Amino acid sequence: MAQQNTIAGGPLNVVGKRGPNIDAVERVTGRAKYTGDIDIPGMLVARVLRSPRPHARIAAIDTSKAEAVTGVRAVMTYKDAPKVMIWGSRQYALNDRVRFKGEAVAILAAVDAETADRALKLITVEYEPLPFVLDPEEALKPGAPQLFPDGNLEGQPRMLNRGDVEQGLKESDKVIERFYHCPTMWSGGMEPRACVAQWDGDHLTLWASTQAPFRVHGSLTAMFNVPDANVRVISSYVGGGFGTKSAPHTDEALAAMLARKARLPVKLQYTREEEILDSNTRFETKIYVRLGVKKDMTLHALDVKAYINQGAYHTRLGGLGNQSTHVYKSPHVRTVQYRVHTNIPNTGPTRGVGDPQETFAIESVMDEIAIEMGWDPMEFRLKNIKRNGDPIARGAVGTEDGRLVAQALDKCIEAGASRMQWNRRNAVAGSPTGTKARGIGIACTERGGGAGLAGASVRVNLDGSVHVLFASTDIGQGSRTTLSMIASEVLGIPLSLFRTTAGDTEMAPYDGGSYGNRTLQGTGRAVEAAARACLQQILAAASPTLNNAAPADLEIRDSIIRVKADPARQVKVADVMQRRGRSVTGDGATAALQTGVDVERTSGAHFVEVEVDKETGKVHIIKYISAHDVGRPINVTIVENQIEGGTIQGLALTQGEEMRFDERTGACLTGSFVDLKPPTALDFDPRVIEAIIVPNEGTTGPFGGKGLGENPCHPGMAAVANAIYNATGVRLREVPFTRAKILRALSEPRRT
Amino acid sequence: MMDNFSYSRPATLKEAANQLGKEHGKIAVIAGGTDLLGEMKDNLAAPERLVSIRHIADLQGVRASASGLRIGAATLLADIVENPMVQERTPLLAMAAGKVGTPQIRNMGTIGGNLCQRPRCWYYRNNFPCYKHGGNTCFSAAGENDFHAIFLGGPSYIVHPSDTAPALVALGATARISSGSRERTVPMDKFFVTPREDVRRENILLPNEVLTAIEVPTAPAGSKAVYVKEMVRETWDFALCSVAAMVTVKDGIVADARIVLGGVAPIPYRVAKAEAALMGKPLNEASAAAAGLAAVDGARPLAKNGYKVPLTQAVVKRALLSLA
Repeated sequence: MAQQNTIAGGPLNVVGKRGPNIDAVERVTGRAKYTGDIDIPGMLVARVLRSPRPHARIAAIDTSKAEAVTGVRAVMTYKDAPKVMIWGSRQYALNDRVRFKGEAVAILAAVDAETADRALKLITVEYEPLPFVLDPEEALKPGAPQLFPDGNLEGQPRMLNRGDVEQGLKESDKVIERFYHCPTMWSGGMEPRACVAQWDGDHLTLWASTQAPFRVHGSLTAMFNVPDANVRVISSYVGGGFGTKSAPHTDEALAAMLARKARLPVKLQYTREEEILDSNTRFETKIYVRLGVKKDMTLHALDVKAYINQGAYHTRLGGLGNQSTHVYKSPHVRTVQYRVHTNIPNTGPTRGVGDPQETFAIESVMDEIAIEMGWDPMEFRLKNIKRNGDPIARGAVGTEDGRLVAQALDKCIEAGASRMQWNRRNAVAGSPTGTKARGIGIACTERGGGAGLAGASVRVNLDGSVHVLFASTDIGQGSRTTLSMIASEVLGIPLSLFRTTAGDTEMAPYDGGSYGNRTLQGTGRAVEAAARACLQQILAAASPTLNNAAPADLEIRDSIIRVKADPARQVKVADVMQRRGRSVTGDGATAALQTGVDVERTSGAHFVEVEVDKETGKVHIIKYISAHDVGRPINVTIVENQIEGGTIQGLALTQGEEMRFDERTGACLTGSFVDLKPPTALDFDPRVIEAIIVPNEGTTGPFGGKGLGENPCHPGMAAVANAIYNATGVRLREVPFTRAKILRALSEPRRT
Repeated sequence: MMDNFSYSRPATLKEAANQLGKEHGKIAVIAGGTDLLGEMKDNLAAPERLVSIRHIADLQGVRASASGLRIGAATLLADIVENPMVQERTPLLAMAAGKVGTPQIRNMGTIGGNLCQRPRCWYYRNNFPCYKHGGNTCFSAAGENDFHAIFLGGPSYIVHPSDTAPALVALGATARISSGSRERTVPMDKFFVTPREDVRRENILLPNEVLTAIEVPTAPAGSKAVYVKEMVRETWDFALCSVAAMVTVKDGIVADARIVLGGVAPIPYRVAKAEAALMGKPLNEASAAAAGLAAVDGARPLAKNGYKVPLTQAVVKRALLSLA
């Protein structure tokens, strides 16, 4: 797998190596200050009163008793909340109507937690209950309870049409029709939501556990109608986000509202239960698929209809990804997505957004039809995948007006299959006769990355040390390290001299944030540009001491500037900086990645061997290979961590973790780690998971790198379902694969 | 967040018992608190006073007695797991105690607390106004009942969550109970009550009584025992189904068998039919399978927990086979 670690300019010294996170020691020793660690003298504690009903109008609300409690400094309801929606959502911070059980109804701030808790119980609310609906298909039926005046459907159905699907299905030699279901699933991080708000006149400083400080900034400037310069959002260390913190949430607004009213700093920290209930969960999907193939093993028509359960409000629009359109060639494709509001808690983007759910459907149905046709499921995929030069859509409308470049899905499949020894799989599914049956499955996936605006600043100090400043965040994915490595490579200054400031809207230029495979390709390119701007200034400043050599003839290595042709002539960066007497700064900004017809995507193939205990329904992962195209890895250790972590997060969706709701009351029954059942460290042994970094080089990212965070989370559900089928001959089309589902399926008469 | 409460830490059992009241709920006994404090934080329980028995010397530790072991109710689960006498004389209990929760919970939780813990039903834990909370319905019966009872259900369908309870019933243990002035001993299989007997409670303790000790007879010579627990996760989970099995084989045939199930009934559920299926037979694949089948005879699954029937059948069979 060794990759020639050079670029056009010469060999790479930093990029492509292994190494620990530069903030690892801070994080594990507790020196890193997370939002919950922020403590300001006089700071108040906030508490949220939440609706016990899934859908109701507030008929009356009385806060007078709470306000009378000594130590309570501010109480707020919809009556005094700004009538401005949270950015990217249809939700007000507080409203006279609640649409899910657990929605904020009133908030207060008091001098300590005990006082706040006591006062919260004194708020009385009279609800006028409204009928509610939890299922997205039910919510679209005539007579269903309505959440919004314009109905439960968010906007128009999202449609994409290529060719003529009905005609394509008619022309197909074989058509199968299937239904796949993924429930609402929680994806939060170790650190529950937290924020601290402090006003100084009309200036707000908000510390928040967010992935996107500038999105929060935008939401708050709009809500309080103040200039951009008046709001500073700081998100230095974040204990995991996984997309749930990629957009503004009500908590930031609530803390800022209370702090403004109380004229004192306010801290609002969610409990684990609040975090599960009022987070942005992974949305439920109900996907109906029709797939048609020709006898020559080619895909001919794919028809996908999806119901997306957005929950009460949406946080950014969630939906499927591009698995239906971008992985395989098919002359006829149609996708229709209904994004539906129901009375379950908010959903939003979480690792992969709708891609894991869509991958589950597409990669399952691909498997199903291959097996029905007697084809090797891997050969069938290899026959149909899009390869370099194949037409691919640039935009969301589906017209294939672009050309795929830097793709390596075929290499991912080949590397994974070789490592798994794909030929070991059962030629006939379900043929193992013992109690414990082993089987092997495959699933492929793809995604784009790097969308939107990004920016960064690099500053070289008078002693030659370097500051990297950016307003996207390090949510544990290692961006402080990766971004520093990019600047270190450009500047020739060792990593040990680097210091980063992450997630600060006042210190760094605009950046959309850390989500959607974009930090490396967005912020990373901005850092590279900023570092190059610094490099030019340093070389220009060094030139006079090196016989006025042209900057292009100079290079920096280990903080020493040399004349390339005559390395004996050299000067230290620190000496040049001292003489210059002014620090050097560079800014970088990037917008859209792709402007021409070339389309670069990131792909991966997963292979899993499972052992199904046919008597107990337990599924063990025996071996798991995650082969990914990451372009050029900037830090190999970090890339492997991302692949392993994402793989496990994808596997978590198979075992038994899901959010469950009571149909009669709309209550979430799984509001704790005991009932939600996220996997523990003992559930998926990292030793059986192997990350393969497939050699490749991207065309747009810094040093050929590609964004990766989302993809490893996509294929787990499909790969495991396909492996369970190979082992047992039973097909699971509903996630998670509980004992109940497996034992029920095993007890049913088998189709032959 | 929990209400204010008073807290006392009496030095003796008598003092502690004297502080208890005449009705359940107002005054609560606390030892490790791993269940009770969670209940209080979730507003499931709101006692006005907590009486800690954690530091009372008489309730601590494992001691040898004439017939076996006397285990103080406030003995930590972790100490029971590691105790050499427990491992030697009643290994079934050590195995079961080792399956409770997590190391953190075993380091705080006590054997008495493990036996007296409240149900894990998600309707109960989410404060639905069910039988257990004084209401007149069981929400699981027609609701989300994946984890509920397949035996002895109704009117409530909770399952007893304890791991040590099935082991202690299988071992023929006895509970020592004290009200300070009055002591009584109750066989472990009479300690627990079904919802039909008392829908609000899971055991016979009166409001003014404390579970003080468990007396565990030494396992019969030549007996072998095992505790098997099936969970969704590998750890930090309650049983979907568990089995405590102890079998004595003499001259190649089963002379004594105790099979008690956890996680499938509102009490630890001894399956006499499964035991009968083994008696007088050699312990082998055929007899273990017959016992597994007998163990689920009479199971009455709800809409979503039918899987517990084949699961229980398999787990009983395997537990027995592991002893062969």
